[in-house]
Amino acid sequence: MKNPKHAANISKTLGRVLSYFKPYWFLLVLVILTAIGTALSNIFGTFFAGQVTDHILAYFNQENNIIKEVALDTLHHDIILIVSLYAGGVFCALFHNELMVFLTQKVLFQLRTELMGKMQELPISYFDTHTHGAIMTLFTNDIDALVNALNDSLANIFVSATNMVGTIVCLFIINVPLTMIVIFFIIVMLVFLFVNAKINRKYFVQQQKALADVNAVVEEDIAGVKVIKAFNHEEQSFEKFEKANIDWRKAATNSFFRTQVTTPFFVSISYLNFSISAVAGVTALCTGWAGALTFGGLQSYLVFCRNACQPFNYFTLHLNNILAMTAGAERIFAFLDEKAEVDEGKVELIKLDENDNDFTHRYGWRIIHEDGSEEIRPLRGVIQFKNVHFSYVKGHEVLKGITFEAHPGKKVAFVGSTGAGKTTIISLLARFYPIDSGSITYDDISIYDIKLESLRRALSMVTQDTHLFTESIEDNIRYVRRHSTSDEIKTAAEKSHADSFIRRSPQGYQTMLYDDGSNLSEGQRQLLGLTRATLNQPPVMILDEATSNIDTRSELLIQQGLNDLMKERTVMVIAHRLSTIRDADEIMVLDHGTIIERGTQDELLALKGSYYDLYTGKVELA
Amino acid sequence: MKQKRFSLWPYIRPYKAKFFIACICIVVENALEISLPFLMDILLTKGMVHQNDGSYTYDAGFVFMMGGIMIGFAISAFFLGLASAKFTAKAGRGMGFELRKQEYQKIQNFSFKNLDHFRLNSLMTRMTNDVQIISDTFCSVLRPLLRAPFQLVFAITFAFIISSQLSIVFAIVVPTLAILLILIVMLTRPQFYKLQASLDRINRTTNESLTAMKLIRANAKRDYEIEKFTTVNSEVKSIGQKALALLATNMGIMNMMTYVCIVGILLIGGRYALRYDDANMANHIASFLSYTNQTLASLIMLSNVFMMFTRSSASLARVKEVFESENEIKDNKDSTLEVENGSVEFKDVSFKYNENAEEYVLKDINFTIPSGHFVGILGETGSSKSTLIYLMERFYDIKEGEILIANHDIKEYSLHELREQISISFQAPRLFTGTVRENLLWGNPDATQEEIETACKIACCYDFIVNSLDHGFDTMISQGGNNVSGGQRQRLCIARALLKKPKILILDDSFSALDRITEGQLKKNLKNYLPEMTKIVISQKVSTIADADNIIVLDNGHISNIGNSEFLKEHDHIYQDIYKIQTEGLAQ
Repeated sequence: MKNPKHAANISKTLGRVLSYFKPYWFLLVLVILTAIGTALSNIFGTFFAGQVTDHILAYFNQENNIIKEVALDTLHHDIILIVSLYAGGVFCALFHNELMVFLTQKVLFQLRTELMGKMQELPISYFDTHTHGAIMTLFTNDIDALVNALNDSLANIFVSATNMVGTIVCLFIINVPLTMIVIFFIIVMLVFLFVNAKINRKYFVQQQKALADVNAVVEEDIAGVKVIKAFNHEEQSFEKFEKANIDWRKAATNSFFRTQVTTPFFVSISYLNFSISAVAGVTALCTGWAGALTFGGLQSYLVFCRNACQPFNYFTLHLNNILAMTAGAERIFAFLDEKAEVDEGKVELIKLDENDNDFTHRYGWRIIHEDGSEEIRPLRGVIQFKNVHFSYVKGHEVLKGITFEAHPGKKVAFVGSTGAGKTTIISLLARFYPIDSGSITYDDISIYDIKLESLRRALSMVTQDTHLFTESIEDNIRYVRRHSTSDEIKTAAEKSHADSFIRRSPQGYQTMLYDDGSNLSEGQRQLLGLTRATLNQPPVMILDEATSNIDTRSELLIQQGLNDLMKERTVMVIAHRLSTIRDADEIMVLDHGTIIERGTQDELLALKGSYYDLYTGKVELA
Repeated sequence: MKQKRFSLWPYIRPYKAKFFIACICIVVENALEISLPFLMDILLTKGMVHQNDGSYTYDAGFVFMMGGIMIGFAISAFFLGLASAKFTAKAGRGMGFELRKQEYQKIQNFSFKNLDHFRLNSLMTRMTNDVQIISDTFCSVLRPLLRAPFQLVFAITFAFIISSQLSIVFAIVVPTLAILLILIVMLTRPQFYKLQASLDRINRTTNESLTAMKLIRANAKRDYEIEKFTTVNSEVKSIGQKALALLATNMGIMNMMTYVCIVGILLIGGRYALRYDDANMANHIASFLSYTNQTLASLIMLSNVFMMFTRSSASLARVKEVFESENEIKDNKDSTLEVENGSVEFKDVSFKYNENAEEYVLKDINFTIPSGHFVGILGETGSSKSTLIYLMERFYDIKEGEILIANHDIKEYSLHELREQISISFQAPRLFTGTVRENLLWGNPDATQEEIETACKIACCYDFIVNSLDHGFDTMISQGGNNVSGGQRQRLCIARALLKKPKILILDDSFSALDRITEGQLKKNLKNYLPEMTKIVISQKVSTIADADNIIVLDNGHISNIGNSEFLKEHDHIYQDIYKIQTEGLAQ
């Protein structure tokens, strides 16, 4: 907080968090007012309780010759005052606590919705440079910190502040010299709290690091537990784990001890304060060294004294909560401020005739020309790349002038080593990344003139990794077309040869999948990915290593099943396995971002070049 | 403690001295703290004398002595507090250490069936986050848990000693508050379980959406994803509002009961003092007021402790599940029987993963492999090829049939001996963080450099280790082995398997990323240099196993045919199909 820029950031972030309360500003003000009310009723209550004893003692001291009835009346009168004060306090406390819970959840709902919305529109490149863990932290830890701060601290920091001020004021009213003792101890405590918080942070970071280390070992060993068993390697692996676990114990012990030092310190400082104040108070009452003091006043003074440190302690606690929250909130806002995927295209895909099975009749592109005229162009699926250059990182070109065409009813294939740029070509077509130069068109429309959603609806992609959701197999297949009937899904599964394994699963099509489908083998997952593509209707089908984990015989059966489907479509295939692509109309061999050979399989074999070498097994694809 | 209910005590036991010291420090510190209002009461009633003229005089010696005692108590409380924090941390973190360690060992002893049941991600959570949460809870709960009842009892006892009349207020308020707090805890608990479940759901939805981002984009499913998320998000909101609102009443009720206490003491004490002209009662009121906070605060502490238990109970339940899983594979640990040769025999073996499943994964498997043979296993995706070899290593136990190695049932060997003599290179080649050499030494920790190099030469990885890796055998392998290519990883895993000098070598689709020349060389090396070792090779490629002594063709868990390539080309339709698809191109 020493850094003024940092402090400015904190207040900016705090302001932005509070801006989420705007629709409920009136309620928030009410919360703060009632919070202050809670504290005030508490302070005045304690103050008047002291007066009650004074009034009773006044009777015993026979000041002004009070008769018993009057004394009793005064007592009842005092009690009624205190009861109404306290009743107001209880009401305020319940009110602001409950209302704050309500408001917090509303604001958090809003924030989470915005986070998810943002996540869905960030460019893919964002996810390449940020780990899943970092993004998940926004939804978990950072949101949790917000819950803590808003729920517990936002209103209660006003309670503590009021209590703080009120207690000091009351102490001063009772007796000025005695109060200086309390002030001294409060200062000692505050200094300790701030210094300790700083040290704590250091130890906490150490603990988190040790925890991350032990987690990394656990992760590796659990993922590799089958290998460990097969190699009788349990002991050696355990030793490595034990070391990390011991380091964790040390760091975590230190960190916990550090945070706990506050408690005994706080307890003892209050105790010390109280003892010294008590002795000083007694002598003051008897000798009058500190000026006027009544017995009731001494009692109130001691009660205030005993609780004097409490609001300061709470205040720092709430303050820390709020500061901790701003760190998370800052990350959340930085995420929300990220630039969304560029989507400036105007061309839209529209439905022409719902009932026509031929997609060129069913869908069309609506193009608004510059002169305002509207053109409906049938959806066909002609893809053209012209001299496309692309780099993920400036200066490192991954694609160096790619030119090709793909037409409906034709199959084009890409082969090449890992890193040759095969998958990149497809990512560019789906506009996951913007190209550096050149042009990509779909049905002669630049893909950058097409609305993102329309463009992607016109493509069907199957990648090597099939992502599955925690729902039934049937719903997982249905994902790509929400309105498909069970019959349609079954037909699609039959075509892609997934039907037999699905039927053999415990509950058939209704079998639940968990943890990204971890209960399925790689091959089975790919079959589901292909089934999705079969169910999906678009005229351009992209298969990126979509059958890499399926054996060649099954692959051939699938290809036969999909032949019908592929007949009218533009098909683009990427494969390591040459048998997958041998019937392609054009095969392109990619090497370091350029197409070095192209033609049908026979033509390429006749060339006796790179493809020939791959085919005859002379070189291995990395 | 009979192990039915899950107890944390076995994990605290190694730290029991520290644990008890922590407990004692907490209790004594607490006693010192509690005596404070009591000392104050003595100070006010005995230290001062109320003169008839309304002024006060005091006994200076007595007052300063009492003050000295109080200061002494404060300082002792501080050091006791420090000690209790230190020992609580040691015991609590030690418990976490022990828990994680034993869980690790338990998981290392899991059978593959156990592993399949838990799934890897969930096992990781159980060993990382869950242990941390349990240890955190233990550390933060110990102090309030010990203090609260102690404080309550002491405060009430002292209160009675001071004045039985005023204690009536406690007698009424304390049980009422206790009942209210119990009610709130009981009402809140199920709400918090629900909240936790819905938080898990929202995290899962987010995580899945994040993992499947490309799929979502490619299918333009943004709106659907947001809609899905909004459903769980609203659920979290409404359950969160309910649960936290209930919890927030805690504070209100606490406040209210404290006030009731104060008012009660003032009213009863005041009236009593005035009615019966009891001046002492007026002095007691002050001491009583300070007990009020303490007594009621201890109750609220207890209710907080229960809430903390609730929050960590999900973690505890998950860890408990791990400890309660039985490994159904019984190790014949003391067996000294040694595997004498590499012959393998399957007799009427049938197997299914789950006893309730209808269909068998493997059915009526019968074959024999003489020691030293090269046998191929061929079959489609999902034809249970890998399962077949897992049975040989007893990763799963069969219920029907018999598997013999070197003419002994595999159950007669110790697991250690069995796994020492059978070496496997898995389908997904997995290396570990560490140098290339460290990874290779997994096969045999005592291997000499010469042995390592020989194994690497046979596995065709010597050249690239020496020539293309930056630091040769000392090159660091990153997590998951991502800094070497797939083909290189496969060959390193084969070399690791060879270093064991096994009687039986199993290669599960281990050539898939190799070029044909390297593959041919590797197979030739195995044949020439290790003739007496039985070699079992699983593959989807006919060319890889065409020269095997025997090929087992699997079809949906049955053996379709066994024979050499020539025989199968004539008689087995699956083999014919695969052969045709894979060689067609070459023939043209």
